[in-house]
Amino acid sequence: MQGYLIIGEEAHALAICPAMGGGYRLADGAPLTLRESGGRMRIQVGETVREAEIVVAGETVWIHLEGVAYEITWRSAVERLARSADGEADGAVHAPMPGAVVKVLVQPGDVVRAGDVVMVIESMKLETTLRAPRPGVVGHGRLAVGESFERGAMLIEIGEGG
Amino acid sequence: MTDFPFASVLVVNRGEIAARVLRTVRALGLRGLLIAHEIDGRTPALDLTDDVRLVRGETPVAAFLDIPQILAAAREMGAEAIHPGYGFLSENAGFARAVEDAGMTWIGPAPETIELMGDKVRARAFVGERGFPLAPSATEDDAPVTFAERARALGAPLLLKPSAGGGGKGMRIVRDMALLDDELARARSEAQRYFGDGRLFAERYIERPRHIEVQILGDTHGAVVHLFERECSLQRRFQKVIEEAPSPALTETERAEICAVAAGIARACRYRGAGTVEFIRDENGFYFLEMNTRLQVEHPVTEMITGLDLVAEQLRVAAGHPLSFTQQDVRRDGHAIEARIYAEDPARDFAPTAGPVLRLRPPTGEGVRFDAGVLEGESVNTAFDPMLAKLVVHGADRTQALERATTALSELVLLGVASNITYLRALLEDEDVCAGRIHTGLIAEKPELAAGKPLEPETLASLIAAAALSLPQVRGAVDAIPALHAAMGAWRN
Repeated sequence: MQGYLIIGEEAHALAICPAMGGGYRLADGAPLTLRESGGRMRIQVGETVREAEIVVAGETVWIHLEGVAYEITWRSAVERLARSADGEADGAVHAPMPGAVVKVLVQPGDVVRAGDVVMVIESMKLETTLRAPRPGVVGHGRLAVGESFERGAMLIEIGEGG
Repeated sequence: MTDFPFASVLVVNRGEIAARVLRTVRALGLRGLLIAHEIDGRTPALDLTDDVRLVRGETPVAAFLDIPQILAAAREMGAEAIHPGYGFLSENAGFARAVEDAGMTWIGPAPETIELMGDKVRARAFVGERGFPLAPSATEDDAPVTFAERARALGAPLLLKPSAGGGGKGMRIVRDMALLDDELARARSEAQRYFGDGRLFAERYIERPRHIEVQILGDTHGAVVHLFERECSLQRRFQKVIEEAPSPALTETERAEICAVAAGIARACRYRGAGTVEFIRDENGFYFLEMNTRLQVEHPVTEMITGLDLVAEQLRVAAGHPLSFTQQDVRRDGHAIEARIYAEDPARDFAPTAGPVLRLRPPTGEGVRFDAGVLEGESVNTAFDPMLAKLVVHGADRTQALERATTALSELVLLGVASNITYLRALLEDEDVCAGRIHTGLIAEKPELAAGKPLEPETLASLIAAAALSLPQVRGAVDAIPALHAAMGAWRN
């Protein structure tokens, strides 16, 4: 099992291994330790010691380090490959942010060109128009006007053909 | 202790403002009542209330706008007064009237004042007729047929606003007059959806203006005082992000002038309770923008510099008491800054975020106030406004207030839902912001602040190490590497 830690938009290959005689070390040999001290975590990498607050939720770790909160997600190498392949083949319209449907401008079976407006969504106070990412035929709609969704949700399928 | 003709106050709101109002209600010895929506789960306000009723609706927002349901809940709990907070029904004259008709005390201005100032067109006419300064504008009401033409005549850039609007909703800037018809159509559709009224109002858009507003307070006996100004020029898409008092832009003469105009407008409409007169200011002067007939989100910065509790003042005025101080008694001390913590991701064009509040640790320290609307262990949803909390700091001067704000923002721990905390810090450390060279377009002109700083290699190493060793599944995988293999070289791919 090899994998990546995703921070923001960047994937960082995991480069940690057990050290001889216990503990862990980085690729360059720097020893690592992580231990709790008074409710906070002490991270030691080589000579550098930093204090952080860490919370784990499933495959995601939230770390508050030196005044900044980071969301770090673990993704195995296989899973990452599968996701990127899926992303390329998938012509669907995905939600760029959580929100609710204001208007659906296409019906299942409609033929659309790339760039056609297919849906208007609202998040907080803003309306955003969503466009077809490629030409094709509109598949079955998953959401009706007023329904809400999370970021990344598939809103409208756009199939081959047309 | 002041006598109140009401023994209980129902707060028709949620989030941080519900908790903030309830704190004062209870401190004054009154019963604090609340309505809530189940989607919010446990909240700070719930812990401060003597009784609560759940409200329901087609959407969670609709529940907080459902006047018959809210009044029924008020009667059930025996509410004798209603505080609307900000947003929702706070500037709904129909609600204010319904509350009074139901025999309860409305904690806010007279319904007629809400109506007058809520209609941007009437409000401007009212203010203009009395000789107060206004920016050039066109209104759809005057003659709908020629509206587009008159709007065009004002020249670009142009600002389109819903006549019935407020809070920045549905506003659009038009820079290219060729797009005016399209923009008008879109603005009308948004105005119709948000406010049930598609009429528009266009004004000359002033580039790089400052937003300066004045807090005023009036009683039922005709007395009006101002509590100095706040500068709220740091905005994103017309939503305030950081507010401060006093404004770094005004000389004492200008301060006295703008505050006197605000108090004059409040006096002219016989204002009762807490209100805010908003102005835009450029190098040529200041113009009336609108009057908000409610407590503002950013009222704590005024509380910090004056030492007053504005909610307590609202309650006393609603009880019919005269103001307990005169203009000369109002003192200004030091500098206060408020930063709004929003559930949004600056790196993704400020897209709203949602998720569980896995950890929330407020900052501490001298001059720090933290008004939160969420609790650790609960979730942030996108059903309501994205504001999670307000951080307010006070310092002896602006420099100290800025320092205290950035320190407090770095101490504030919020994990589980992405927020704008780091962005707020970057903004407060920006050289123009530090120098007080701010205007309402500053945030849009500095998109690089939203991108965040690149990670230092050492920070990255610490993060990777901490994440890997914290995730059981990753730690397990690392542990599974044979020590002999490990001895030959680091595990990489």
